[in-house]
Amino acid sequence: MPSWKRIVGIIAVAALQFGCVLATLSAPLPGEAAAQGTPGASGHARTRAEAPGGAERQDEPVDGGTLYLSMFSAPRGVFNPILMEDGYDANIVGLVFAGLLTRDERLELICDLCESYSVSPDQREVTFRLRKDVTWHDGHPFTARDVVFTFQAILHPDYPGVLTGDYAALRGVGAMLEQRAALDRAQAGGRISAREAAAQKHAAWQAWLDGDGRQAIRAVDDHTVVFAVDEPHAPLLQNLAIPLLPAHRFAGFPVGEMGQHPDTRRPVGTGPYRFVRYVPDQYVELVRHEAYHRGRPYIERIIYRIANQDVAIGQLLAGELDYVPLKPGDVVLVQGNPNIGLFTRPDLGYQYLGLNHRNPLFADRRVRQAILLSIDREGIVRHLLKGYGSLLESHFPRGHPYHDPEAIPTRRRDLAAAARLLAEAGWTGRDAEGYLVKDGRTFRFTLVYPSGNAVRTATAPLIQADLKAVGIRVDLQMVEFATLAEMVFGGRQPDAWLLGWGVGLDPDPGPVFDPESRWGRATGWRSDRSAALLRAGARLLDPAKRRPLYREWARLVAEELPVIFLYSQDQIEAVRLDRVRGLRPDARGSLWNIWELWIAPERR
Amino acid sequence: MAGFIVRRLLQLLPTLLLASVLIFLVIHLAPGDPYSGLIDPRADPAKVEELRLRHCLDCPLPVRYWRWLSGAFRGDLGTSIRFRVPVAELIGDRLGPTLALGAASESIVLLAGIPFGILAAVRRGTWVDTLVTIVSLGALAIPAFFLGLLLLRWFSLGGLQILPSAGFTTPGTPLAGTALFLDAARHLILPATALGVTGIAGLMSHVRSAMLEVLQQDYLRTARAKGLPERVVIYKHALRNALIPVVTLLGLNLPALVGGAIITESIFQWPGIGRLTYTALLERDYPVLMALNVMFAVLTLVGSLLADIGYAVVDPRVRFE
Repeated sequence: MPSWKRIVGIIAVAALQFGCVLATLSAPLPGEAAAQGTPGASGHARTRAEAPGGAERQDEPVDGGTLYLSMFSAPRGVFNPILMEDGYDANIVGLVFAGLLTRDERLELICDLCESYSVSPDQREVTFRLRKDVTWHDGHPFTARDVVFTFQAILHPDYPGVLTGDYAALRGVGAMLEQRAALDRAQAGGRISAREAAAQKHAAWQAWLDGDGRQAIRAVDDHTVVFAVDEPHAPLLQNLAIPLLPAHRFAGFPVGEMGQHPDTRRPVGTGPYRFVRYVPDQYVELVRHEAYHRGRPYIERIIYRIANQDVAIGQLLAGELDYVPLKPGDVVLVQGNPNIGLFTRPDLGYQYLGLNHRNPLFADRRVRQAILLSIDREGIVRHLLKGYGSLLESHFPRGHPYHDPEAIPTRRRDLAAAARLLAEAGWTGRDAEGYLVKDGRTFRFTLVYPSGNAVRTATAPLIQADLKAVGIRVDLQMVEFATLAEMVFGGRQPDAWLLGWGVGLDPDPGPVFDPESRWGRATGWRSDRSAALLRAGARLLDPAKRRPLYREWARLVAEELPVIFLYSQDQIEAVRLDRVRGLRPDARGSLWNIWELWIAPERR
Repeated sequence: MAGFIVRRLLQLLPTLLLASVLIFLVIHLAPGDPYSGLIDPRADPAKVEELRLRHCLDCPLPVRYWRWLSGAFRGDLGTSIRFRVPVAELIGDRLGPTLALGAASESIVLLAGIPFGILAAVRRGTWVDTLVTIVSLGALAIPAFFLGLLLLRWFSLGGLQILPSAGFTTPGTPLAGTALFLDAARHLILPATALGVTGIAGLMSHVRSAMLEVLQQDYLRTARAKGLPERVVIYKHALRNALIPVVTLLGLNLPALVGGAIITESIFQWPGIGRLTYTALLERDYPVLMALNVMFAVLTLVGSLLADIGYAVVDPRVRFE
């Protein structure tokens, strides 16, 4: 038996299997959406159309047609704005539902389901006057009842979602939530039974409804709603913008079982498109809402397909898809095609290198600055992101309305400065391998990072090499996402990790840097100055007054480096220009005015 | 025979129970829980804690296992924590497409693998043998995802453009009856080919070596000496014996048939069990994971039982008393 044949066969198999492993790693995997924080967050600043001929063509809108959109992971089918937990569900919810407020092209809050809104002089009351021409997809009129229902459901003790904390500022809610947390702790500790805890929560809920609750969320008449707070709290306004649920559909149904309500699967909203069906893992079909309050949509149907990221570009080129979000590396495949428009905008998320400040290695601010200066972040943006991204110096990425490039200059790689800072921090010795030594201890730590996000995974070895250049030894450990999240936020306190945040449009960072929260505990970073600034900033509702405060805070964070800020990736969208007309892309994306878009009749 | 089957079925229960304990332990020993991936700062930690209490995620393992087992005995596999639908529905939605893809690709494996194996063995050492071996090894060496992309390029998005690129049915056109069947069949061709072609070589080489072994047996020489035509010698006397290892292979393949193929499913957007398993695994969706793994355990046990029964059918020497 000639054995060479078998050997050649084995080598061929091995080579191709290896190739397979590489290709698999570079494909984005699901499970990432939860990590990216705020789903559906849009970017800011200039949006550039790269397509020759531009996005706009001078012709008249035509009725009808089907628009084919794509996303790369299947929604769970939880199409309920107060229960969904990932961005793929949010894609659908965004088309089916509408909220009190939405964003304009500068990403500032404007009315959507309201005619106007006003804040009382003492900043303790917000009054919304609702539009009277809004109907739900089933024909029922939209009223103040729906607003009250949605927010009361979120605050209900049985509510099976996670948004409750966003509304702790409403009158009497903070105290009620504290009591609930105490009851949960007692129940977990076995001091009271689950039934007893539930009974006490329900009693407190009823007391709130009859007391503070009457003021906190008040329907003055069918078209006026007033929200009242204990203390002025600016981030509340963006939280009041969430898509609203129809009270008449959910009335009488136990809030605790809302996840099983048929409307959670087959939603009824007030948005531009009406839900028709979800074929699991395949596509979502939507039909226009004839009575949509911002104008009857031209495009009759939307098929939101779940596509494979590597195949989607072929489907776009073949005309099977009209819209595909792109990775930086794939831009070359469609660039220069006159039928395809490319729209880029900065994202509101960013990637960072987290550090455990309790580890004496990272306790010194100069060491953290040295680490930032050692990493070639420009190289990451240039090579891994192909330029579709930007360096990040503080918590607000380039697309954020509160991003202020003048306040914080961009720091480029500077090994000399890094070495100087490390020497100042006492890292003067070197061991046999050239790594830094202080008090007999080598500068060495383990960097854990999650599989999934291909660009982020690729940065880990680059960071390792960059830090080696200044004498810091990094051991790499890649783990699966949920394991990493458990390590970082479950109290295992790893030395260093790579993760990303989605930043909300309100400048208040929420609990991310609060040392008492699970997010703040991960780093263990504490700063009284930061806490004071954030406390003051959250109480101010006027953007003009908030701006200087958050500029100072961003500068503080850039200096202190609770985490090492790395980069922020741009969002790239590709759209078939020969089919989709009426595009007015801006910071909200390329399809924000979906009800104004139409399909070219000759390309149907 | 009947007694044997009944006895084996009875043995199945304790094995399954043990398997479910092991599966339960392994799943719950993995770090994290369904909520640990939820790191969005908007997710209220107090609320997450309360939901963990509600799902009894901090209860002692025996308590949780009992909760699962008593539910399973009542036919209630629980509700997915992240999908918020009953697990049975979640799996049921994907079972049909998975079986269709599995059966179609397995048919390709069988229809190509067995004849190729016979051909290579009978024509051993000739150019036919070499060609068959090279072609099937080549097919084995191409990863399914790569072949899938090539097929898409040749038959769907580029080249001939005669087959749909993705999905189980054409989106947005609710079909029924024959039209639905034909539409699904058209969608099935590419993924089934991508998945099936890589499996041919394995079966082919099994059949080939089994055939070679059988062909050297004395009784075949006897059969030939009696003047039986070569066709009868090969297909009646040799093949039946050579198929014994193949039957085992097929029986043990049963869980793989239903387990789905995540990469192929992902490229062709096939609504299969593979991707569901992967998602549930990444998110520690315990009820889904339990149901899926216990289902795989059942299939493995049933598969090996079927293989044993298959022996008796193919091999006259095997008799279960």
